[in-house]
Amino acid sequence: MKPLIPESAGYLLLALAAGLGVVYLSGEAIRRGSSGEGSEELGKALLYIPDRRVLHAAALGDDALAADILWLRTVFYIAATELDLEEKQGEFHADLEGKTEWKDAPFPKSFEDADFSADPRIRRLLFWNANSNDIPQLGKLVGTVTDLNPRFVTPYVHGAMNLAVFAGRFDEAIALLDKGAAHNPDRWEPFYYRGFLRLFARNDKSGAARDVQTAAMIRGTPAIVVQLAGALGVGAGERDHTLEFLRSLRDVTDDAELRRKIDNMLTVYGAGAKAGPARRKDEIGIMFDSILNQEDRGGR
Amino acid sequence: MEALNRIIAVGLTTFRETIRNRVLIHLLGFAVAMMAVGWVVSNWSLGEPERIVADIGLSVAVFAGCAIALFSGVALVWGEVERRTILPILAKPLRRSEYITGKFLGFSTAVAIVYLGMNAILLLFFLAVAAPVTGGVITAMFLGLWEVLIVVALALLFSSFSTPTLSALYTAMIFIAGRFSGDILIYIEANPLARAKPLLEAIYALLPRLTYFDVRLEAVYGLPIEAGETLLSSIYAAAYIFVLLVAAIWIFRSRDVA
Repeated sequence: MKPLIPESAGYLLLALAAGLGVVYLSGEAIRRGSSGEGSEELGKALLYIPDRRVLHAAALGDDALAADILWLRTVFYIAATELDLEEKQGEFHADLEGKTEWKDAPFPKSFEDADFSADPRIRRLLFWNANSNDIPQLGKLVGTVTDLNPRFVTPYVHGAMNLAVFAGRFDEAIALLDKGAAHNPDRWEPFYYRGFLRLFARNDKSGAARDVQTAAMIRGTPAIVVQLAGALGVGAGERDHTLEFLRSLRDVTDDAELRRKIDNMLTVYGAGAKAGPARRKDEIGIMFDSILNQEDRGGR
Repeated sequence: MEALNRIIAVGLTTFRETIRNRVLIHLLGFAVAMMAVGWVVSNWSLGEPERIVADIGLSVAVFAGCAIALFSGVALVWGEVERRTILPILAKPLRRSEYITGKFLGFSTAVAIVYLGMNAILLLFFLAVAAPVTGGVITAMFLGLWEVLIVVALALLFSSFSTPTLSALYTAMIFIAGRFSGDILIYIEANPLARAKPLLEAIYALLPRLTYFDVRLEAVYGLPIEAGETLLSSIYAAAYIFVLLVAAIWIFRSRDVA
């Protein structure tokens, strides 16, 4: 009886090659056909973000695992959005040079308190980002991740900074860090970054000083945060309180190098040196530096 | 003493059979691959990579252990009945209770060794990301073993009277329900319908409370884990396994295997 399907090695190899060829070609055709940008595709995939309870059920009650997986997806979403934004920001800068409507566009109310006077282009770029609506799902994604695992600090920090810088959603960013600080009073990051946003976006020196001083009191904080806490407090006109804070920190720290720095600060600020408005640019610079150099974990 | 020797003989045979089972090797390989994936993706998390490795690794070890218990355990008794290999075994001077006890001990030892092996590999990933191996992590691994052993006992119970497919279904359903036992308790406390409460209370009492063995979050964040609670959870698990074994012996005692 002649077999219906030829079973010789040659025929089977031929069939295998033909099958693989069709798989490859059809797969590539679908890939070429999808016209969306990376973030658009991810945005579509994340159009429906399941409720915390649904994810709790899907992960068989392992909320921390569900939070990790959703956070990794959020990271890809942020990365894809930022790659798209880089391209678009190139267009924006070209627009800024050539057209006047960007230069003369009115700022929304939420930007009135912001003080980006060091570089008006930064202010305009943030405004432009805020209106581009390119990262619409981030707030809900990070909210769900932190509902699943409120002690996961990274999403608070990166979620808030991306909401602020890439979407201009300062209130949402500060609210996210409020939640992070409430759930993680033993971690310096939520307090520190909230202080950064208060200073950078709201020009709220007292609020920023309070937050950074709280961060400085937490074990494991980079040493530079302590210096910044002192500078911000004096800059906000709260010299007595700042001196008291520095003295109490000096009493509890077991780091000789940090104690030496605090002694220097106590001498300088105690003698009446000012860290007034002229130093504001420096303060923001120090904050940026400390964010970029977080390995420097002198702490107390 | 002779009874103990007979139990050990059944246990050793079961242990050897289980270790040779390919399902076990495949699931072990899958678990290690998932741990490696956790290690790789932890580099993309923008922070706390050691926590991601610990979270994923500890969860994967427990899930894989339970999967091994489920897929290998459901055919433990039924397979021997179907193949008729049980007849010469029971023709020997061996009580059915000894047979079931030996089966459980042999199978649970094999699964426990594999589970501990997975955790040993996980510790290598901990080293790779410089994650601290704290007492909490060891406690989480230890309590995870109890969760796996409860699934072993469940699979053995269902295998003593049902087909592998149905046994797998029953075991999986109870495993899933047991993982949500904490939610059932919340529902009992919040439920305004007083008439439903006795039913929910009964379900809660019968289900294995697998949430008692989940201290992974505490372990990963270095939060305190009470030694008393760990001891109580262990006593609860041992008692629950004992009840399941007695039930399996009781069902199998009166079963016609010829």
